[in-house]
Amino acid sequence: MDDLLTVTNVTKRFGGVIAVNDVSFSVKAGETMGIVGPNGAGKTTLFNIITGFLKKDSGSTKFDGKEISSSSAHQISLVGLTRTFQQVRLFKGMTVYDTMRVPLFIRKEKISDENIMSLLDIVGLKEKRNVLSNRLTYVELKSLEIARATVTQPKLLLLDEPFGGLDIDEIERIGTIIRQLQAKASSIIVIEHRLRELFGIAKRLIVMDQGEKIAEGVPVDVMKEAKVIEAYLGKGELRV
Amino acid sequence: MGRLPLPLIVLLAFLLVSGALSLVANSYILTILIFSNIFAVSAASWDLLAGYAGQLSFGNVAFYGVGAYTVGILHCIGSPLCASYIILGSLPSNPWLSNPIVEVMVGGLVAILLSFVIGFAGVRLSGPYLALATFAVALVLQHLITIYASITGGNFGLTVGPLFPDIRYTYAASLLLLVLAASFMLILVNSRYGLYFKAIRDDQTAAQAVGINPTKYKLLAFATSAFLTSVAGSFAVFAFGVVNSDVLGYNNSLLWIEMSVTGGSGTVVGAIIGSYFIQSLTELLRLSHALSLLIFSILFILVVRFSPGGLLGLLKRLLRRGVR
Repeated sequence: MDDLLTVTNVTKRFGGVIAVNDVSFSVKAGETMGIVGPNGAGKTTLFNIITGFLKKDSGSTKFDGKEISSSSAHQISLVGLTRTFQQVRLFKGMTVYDTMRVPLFIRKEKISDENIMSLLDIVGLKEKRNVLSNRLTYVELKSLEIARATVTQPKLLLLDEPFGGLDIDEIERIGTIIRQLQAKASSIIVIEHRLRELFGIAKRLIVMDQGEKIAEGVPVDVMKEAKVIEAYLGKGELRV
Repeated sequence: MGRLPLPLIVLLAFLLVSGALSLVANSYILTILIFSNIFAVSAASWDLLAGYAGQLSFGNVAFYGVGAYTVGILHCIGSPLCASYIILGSLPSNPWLSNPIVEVMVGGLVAILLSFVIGFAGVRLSGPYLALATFAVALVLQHLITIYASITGGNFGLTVGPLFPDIRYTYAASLLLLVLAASFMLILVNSRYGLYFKAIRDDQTAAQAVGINPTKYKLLAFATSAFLTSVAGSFAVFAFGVVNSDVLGYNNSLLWIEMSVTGGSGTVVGAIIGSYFIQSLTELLRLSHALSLLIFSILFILVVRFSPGGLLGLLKRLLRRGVR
């Protein structure tokens, strides 16, 4: 199967700090991939580069066979690459239903009430369609952000820490939503710290540390690699 | 039949009361009503830009001035009414240029061009930085008016004479202008464009993430607000027959902000209510300018602190309590 997203030798510096260092990977159509790594590993910076919110210093990002690294964020969204944010970003003065209509309107797509309501049903917000976003609970905000990113049936959906800041029950709820939505987005990349939940969704992982990709492969194998253990637990002997 | 939304009911009630009042009012009251209508258009245009699209502007008075001076300058070409030191009066007259519709449209187009200049700054700036940049544009324009006195009449301004033979006609035309402008704005904010404006206002990054081009829609908001404010400025010249550099005074911009916020920002209708309310209060407090400034300032603080939805929001809350 052809690669949907190809990231090649991408580097990004902030002054003297190398946030992303020569990272390469690809995602195939229909695939769900996870990106893990400790805080400050460069995962969100990588997301921001792919989605056009940050400009890379070098390297290339190709989506659906076309170079997108010089495109702006809204253009990248319109070609079928949508995302959520680590800190939820919603339109707080808008109702849940209007929030779902905006991405469809901007693509001049026909607004299907049935389509929107079925998606709101999946994320558990059907009864709150006329509620303003700023009246929702945190887990509802996360759910709505995922639904908004999915309503246009993107080719690639990027989820940035979808389980961040949630309790056990809420994590279960978001996990269920993502599994149900996997059919609506052709491919998904998930950044997540909660490995157990991520393993239930992603079939392939890349691990980042200090801006570099240090491992890639099937989750169970990757997490056994010495470099990965070192990145998470640190170096040195355990003294009892 | 579905129920009419409250803002629309309030708007219709206002227009009806205003219309009925005009039938019995003397010319003093009619002048207040005309000003209320003109400033309602300006305040609602500011609300469209700031309340909906989140582009805080302290310089909308520049668009008002552009509309007013375009009418003044075009009307002065070849006109014996213009003062002798104004070079325009000696130019040959052109019936096209003295056509009010043409003058309003030219003024609107010039305002749109100016809005693009300011709007491009708005792409890079936001919040107080944008507010100060727009404020600076209005100040620069006011100085240009004074410097190029041979065209603009300087501080004395231009006299073009009122367009309407009777003040009641002027009032009727101002009400028509308000109805047309308010209808256009309400249709716009309830369309997909209104949602794009709100999305950019609430979170520009999220707006980009769903595919909205913020530059395009910020410029659209600026251009629409500029055009409507310019039309209001043009109408003021037709109504009162004169234009001078006072129309570019920063106090007008602040007044429209106060009208919009007091009436209910982000509603269009709130700005109209605010305009009538503030204009009436201004007349009641006319005897003491210092006292009126104090009262307006306190009122502004009270509204922001206790009723962020303005008078319209307060009315909604009271009605909701009444229903319970």
